[in-house]
Amino acid sequence: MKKLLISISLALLLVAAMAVPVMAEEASTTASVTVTEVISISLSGPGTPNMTFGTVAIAPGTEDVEASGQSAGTPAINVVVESGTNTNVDISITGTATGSIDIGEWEYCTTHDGTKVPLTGSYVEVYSDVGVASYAFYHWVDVPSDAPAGSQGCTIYYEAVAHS
Amino acid sequence: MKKICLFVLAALVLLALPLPVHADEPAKYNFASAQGDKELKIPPGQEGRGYIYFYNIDGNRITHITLEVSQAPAGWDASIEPPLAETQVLVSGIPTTVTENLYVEPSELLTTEPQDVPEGMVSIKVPGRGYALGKPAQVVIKVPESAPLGSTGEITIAAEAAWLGQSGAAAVKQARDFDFSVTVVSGSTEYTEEIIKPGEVPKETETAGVITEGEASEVPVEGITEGEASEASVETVPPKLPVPESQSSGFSLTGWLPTIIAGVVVILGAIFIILLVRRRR
Repeated sequence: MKKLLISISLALLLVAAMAVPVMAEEASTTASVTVTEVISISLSGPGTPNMTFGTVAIAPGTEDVEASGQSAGTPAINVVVESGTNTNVDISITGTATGSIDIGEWEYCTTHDGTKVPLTGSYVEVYSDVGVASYAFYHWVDVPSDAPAGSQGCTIYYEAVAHS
Repeated sequence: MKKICLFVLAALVLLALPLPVHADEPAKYNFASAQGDKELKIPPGQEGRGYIYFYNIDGNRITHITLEVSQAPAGWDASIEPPLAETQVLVSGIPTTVTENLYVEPSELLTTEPQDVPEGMVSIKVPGRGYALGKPAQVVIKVPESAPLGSTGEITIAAEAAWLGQSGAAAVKQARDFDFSVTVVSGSTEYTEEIIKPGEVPKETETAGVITEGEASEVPVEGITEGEASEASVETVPPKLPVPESQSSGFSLTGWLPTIIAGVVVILGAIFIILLVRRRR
């Protein structure tokens, strides 16, 4: 009698132990979460609000005309990934010419003394997988000798998207 | 009298000081966004909404934002609210017309959640910082009737942020893409589950009621329209879920079985202990 009772009790305890986690799983499926992505980027530096390059003589053409106010350690534009941004981002750059100087004559670099890179009509990733901090963009323009007199310009786009 | 005049003059000078300071401070162009749920579930022939919120707590200039649907599956209808419209702006006293979907003025970072949010704005929880007042943009997506259940469509919204008053040779702007992934689901909220045997072709009426794993989280909560839950805060929002009909109505023996077994075990254990005690006596 005693053995029978112990066996039944143990068997029932086993069954109960197996059944309880099943109940817990059923309960947890009734909740879910919605995660959102926050990105805050600021542009600052001597290139805002006016990125100027001064007056340049056309003949015989001038290379690497620096953005006004820019110097080593002071980039024309700081792309600042602000706090509150909850994902790492990729920062890219592109441009469109608004005058007769080709977009490829407008250049950028992440350092003052590095190799200058011509802007292109499509986005080029410059900083990859970066978090909250400031990222430098130095700017120059090459004025070709055949450029017509008058004001020239371009629009520079900085794109920050969540790193994937 | 002279003293009063001097005091008033000094007060006026002090009051006027902050304005030019604000105008003269170095420009800081901020483009801040918070995206709502990226994964949307919409039944065929119906409409769903994705949300993007914009705020401006780190800048000192008005951010003018244009939005464009740059990618959507063929036959799907995607539009943006508010639509492109002209806004009249006075830039240093000169009237200027800007074509944009919305603009966001610089605002203060709030340490506590605002109780009174102005109409047309939302309170956004900025991770680790506090709250910001921002503006929402809605991406309205209509899935065609012919879209097969379970198929997905990728929608991309291209955003461009611009700032007025730039008079240099090079103007600067910001750009950002927002992706939404839409899964075509059944419009029925009734829970059914049926095993499809190998080689068996399920009838359309049967598949229409099938809810795939995880879909329950997208069923609109009573009294809250889709996307509204994330409007109040862009923090993690655990939506309430409706209990499937089969679970909510009536007595289910399978649901109570573990409790019954546990009860029986406790009773048997008690009887067993009593018997043991009696025998020892």
